[in-house]
Amino acid sequence: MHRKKTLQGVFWILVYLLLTLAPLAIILAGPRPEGRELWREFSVALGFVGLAMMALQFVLTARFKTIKSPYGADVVYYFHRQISLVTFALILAHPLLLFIFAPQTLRLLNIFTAPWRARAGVTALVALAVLIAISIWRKQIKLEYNRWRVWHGLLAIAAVTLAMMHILLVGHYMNTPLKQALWLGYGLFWVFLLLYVRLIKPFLLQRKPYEVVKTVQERGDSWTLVLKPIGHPGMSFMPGQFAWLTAWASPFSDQEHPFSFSSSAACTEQLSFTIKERGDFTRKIKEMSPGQRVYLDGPFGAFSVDRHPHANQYVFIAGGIGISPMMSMLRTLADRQDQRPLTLIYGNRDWESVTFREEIEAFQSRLNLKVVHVLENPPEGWKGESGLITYELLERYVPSERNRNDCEIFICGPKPMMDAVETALSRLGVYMGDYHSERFDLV
Amino acid sequence: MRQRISTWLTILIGVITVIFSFIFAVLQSR
Repeated sequence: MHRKKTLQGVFWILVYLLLTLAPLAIILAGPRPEGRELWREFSVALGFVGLAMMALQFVLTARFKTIKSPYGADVVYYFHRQISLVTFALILAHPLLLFIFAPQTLRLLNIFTAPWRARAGVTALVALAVLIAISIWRKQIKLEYNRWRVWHGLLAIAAVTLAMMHILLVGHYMNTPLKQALWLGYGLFWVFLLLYVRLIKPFLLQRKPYEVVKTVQERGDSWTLVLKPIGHPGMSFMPGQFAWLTAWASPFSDQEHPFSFSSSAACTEQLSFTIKERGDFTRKIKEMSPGQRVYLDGPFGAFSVDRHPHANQYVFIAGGIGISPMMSMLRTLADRQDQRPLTLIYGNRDWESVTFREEIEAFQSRLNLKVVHVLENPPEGWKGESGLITYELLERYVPSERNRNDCEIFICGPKPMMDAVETALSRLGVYMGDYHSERFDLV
Repeated sequence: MRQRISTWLTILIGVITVIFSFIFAVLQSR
């Protein structure tokens, strides 16, 4: 299983590299255009691979399950964010090298006098810069999530289209009909991707709707949204995975929000998500009425006990609503009558806001489960753990005798907690491949 | 930890593409 995933992972890296370098191979194939100075050709090459990477960003976010499965959706999203900076650096290096080695090209920056090929190139670069800036500082500039998604999509399409126009207008590397055909193919591939993401996929999602069964209030300002499939068998998922939810809108509107399943994977006729009231969308979950139609795209993610079936024991470390994917795993393990040793270390502000408190207590009779509640503000007379989930606390509860792949640890909660726990586990000598994090702040 | 996988992937791919771009430039330049 591990070996297969690794091979798949390597395969997709090679495909990525191949597609990134494809433009250079196309240029070198057959009769080449007249060669120019080394720095100029290097600058052009960086521009070409930058454009290919920019176009490939659409593949990364198109949620193709086969690409995501060897890594998990979170790694693909981190990669999407990090590679965008590399892409920007490469594309920026393209004009910078020109300006350094041929300062007269600086006049191309004047949009009033510059030829159209330069206008298209400069505008593409500006679109990309704005796109990256609003993505990095979305929260600081208080750009609402859905509005950001719209701008993100529009700027991305603008940047790639303008960059393609730039190449066509320069036309230096279009010297044979074969190369023109290859470029056309590259462009069509990209247009197909756009059509798939914006039209085909939403169309398929619309044909598999879900209906709200009920919403249930939980402790800790959270609501459980229970859904059932309409006219189809529902969705099979691994416990701990997540799906993108569209509500009060059509799948074509691109207004989706990712949430972890909290229900057991053993039951696909009814799915549930437990959601904390945090933003505009999550605050409206409680207003959903039975019978309301919603859409789900999923499942995604690698955060699951099912990815590590050979472990002898599992440890779950949750903070607040980070319990949601853990509940899915605990419920599933209980339904499967799994009797492997489990530990749940669960941090909350106070006793009253411990989401699923009662159900977790009840699990102790069905599962071989040890629960460690950690409260920031414990009630009077509290005998359990208090404060935050620290290195010292983890040292007490994380099994010290372990071999690789023997004890798998799952972490989900607020970012500071997760960072602290990951650092502590690393200090405790836990092998990196044995702990897994689910971060809700991907976008 | 998973963030680190993606960071290393990004660095790896960034370095490889710059190297290949340079090789391209050497092959293509006069």
